Amino acid sequence: MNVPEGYVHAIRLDESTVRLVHSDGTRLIASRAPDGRLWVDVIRPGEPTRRIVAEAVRSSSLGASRPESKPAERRVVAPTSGVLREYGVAIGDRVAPGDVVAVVEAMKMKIECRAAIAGTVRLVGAEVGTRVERGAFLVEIEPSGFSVNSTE
Amino acid sequence: MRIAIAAERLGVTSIAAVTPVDLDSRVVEHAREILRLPVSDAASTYLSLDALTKAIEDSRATHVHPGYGFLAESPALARAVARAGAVFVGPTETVLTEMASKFASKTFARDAALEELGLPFDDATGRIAADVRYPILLKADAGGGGRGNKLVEHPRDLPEAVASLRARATELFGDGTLLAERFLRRARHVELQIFGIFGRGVRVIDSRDCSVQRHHQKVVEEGPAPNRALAAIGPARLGVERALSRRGFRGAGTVELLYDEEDGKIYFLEFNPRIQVEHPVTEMRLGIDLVEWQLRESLEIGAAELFDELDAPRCHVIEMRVYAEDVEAGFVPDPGRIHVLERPTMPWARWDSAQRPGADVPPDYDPMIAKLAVLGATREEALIHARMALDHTHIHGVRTNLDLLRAIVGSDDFCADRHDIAWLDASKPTLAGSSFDLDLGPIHELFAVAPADAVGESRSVYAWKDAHRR
Repeated sequence: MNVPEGYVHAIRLDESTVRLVHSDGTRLIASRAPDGRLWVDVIRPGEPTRRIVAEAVRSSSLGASRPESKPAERRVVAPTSGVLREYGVAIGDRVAPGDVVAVVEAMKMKIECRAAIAGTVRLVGAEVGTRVERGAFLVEIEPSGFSVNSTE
Repeated sequence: MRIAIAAERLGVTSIAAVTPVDLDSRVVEHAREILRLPVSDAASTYLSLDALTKAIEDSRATHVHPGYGFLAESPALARAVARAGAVFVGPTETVLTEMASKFASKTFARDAALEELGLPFDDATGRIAADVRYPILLKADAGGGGRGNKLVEHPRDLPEAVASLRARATELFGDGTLLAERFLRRARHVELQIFGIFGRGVRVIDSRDCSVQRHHQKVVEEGPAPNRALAAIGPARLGVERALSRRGFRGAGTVELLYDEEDGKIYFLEFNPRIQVEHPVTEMRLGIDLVEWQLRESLEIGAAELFDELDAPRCHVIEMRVYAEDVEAGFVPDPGRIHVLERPTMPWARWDSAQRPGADVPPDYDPMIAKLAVLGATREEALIHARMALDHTHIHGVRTNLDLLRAIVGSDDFCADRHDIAWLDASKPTLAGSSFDLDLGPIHELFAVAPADAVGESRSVYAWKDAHRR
């Protein structure tokens, strides 16, 4: 396989996994998950291993080095796969940041899903009692009048 | 799986009793025969003794290994196995019954001359012996999990603490009965690996330390226990052996103890009559297979020679539990599909796992992916091996606690052996390291796909330790 510029070594371990060695000594294990995301473990001599998880990119935008910042979190999604136990809100309710809007149960733990912004509940997703996957849409919040653009 | 492999080595046919949900698990690949249990709900099937009894009767099974879970401690299962005409691999029903009862295990502690944490507290008068060392922990008898506990630092605070906790316990649980325990400010969790052979008695074969805990769950275990704790156990070791020998204990068990760093004394916690999660520490240290020992003891295959196969080991083993969890979100389990699983393959590293790439970490079970154990000639060498082994472990697809494990085995406190059971929750060790910048472009290109196949826009890159707060 082609060795990218700046790297001395690249071996494809299987269809979705590559082991790379950078010219500065950094070792990388990179893989593409079934959902398209890129997972990279970065191993530098004398430093703890680091992990990067990056969204998939279109081929056309390859080479863009800086990603855009995330938009304000209007949507509350399931933090983990599990069973949706209850909603803490109904459509039309006003919520403040940190309010519990839903509870997902996984491995006998009840995990509270909280609103990131202040606003009004406009939509709810899955039905209570059903299985939800990680990242599944639970609640959509319409931001209140004042600015809620988070800058991370 | 371990049981099936040990049986194969001994030339014994193994039959796995599994529910439909476990039919694709690894035990099925290794067992010589499969016995399907009828019900589909895991929670109810393994508990259904009638179904198990019938399965044992229908098969030609002569011995039944209960696994490593709570069934291994079940007197009811031991009874059901005997009723079905087979031998239960483990202690007798009588011993299991005694250990299942809190009150009776107190008798065991007394027999073994082990001190307990409980103090002679007179609930009627709210008084305690004057010579008791403070601080003490007042507990509501009906409470649990830390609810309804009160720390009393000085004797003069006792009457008020008793009155207020009694009122709260009555309000919360409808029962104002109180207990008092010693409160250990700095304690180590140490344990003794026990093995009993029919006709040869019971021996303490090894020790471990499991003080790195989060919310009372063990995260890192090592063996042997620190010398100061072993010195404090001293003669109690013989007491334990005698007390268990007298009860005719057979097979593997663990005595769990607390070592008080302040007064240098040992206190009895509990006795578990089964193989524990951290048994690889002892297996690596002693070079034995405890599951095979259990079978050899029960099936009487060279059972009498087992103890003669031991010599005094001088090495150190550290075991780390790798969990699929989001540590920063408060140890929230992170089930999902593992698409990359690279494990260390050095001769001094052991990887116990039922997972492989492409496997799902199911949301309904314990999120443990693997137990990673490393052996070193000394504790220092084992620490170096632990750090190396972690850096050769790569799991993609779910979040893991690998960074936390790296932080633990790299921390000054753990390396200097001055941590205690409250350390991990209190100090939350993190990894130090300079920030870094990596151009992901060339790596994306390696996996370049046709635009139609790609998912979404380039939206966000969240890096290690980055605040990807939801």
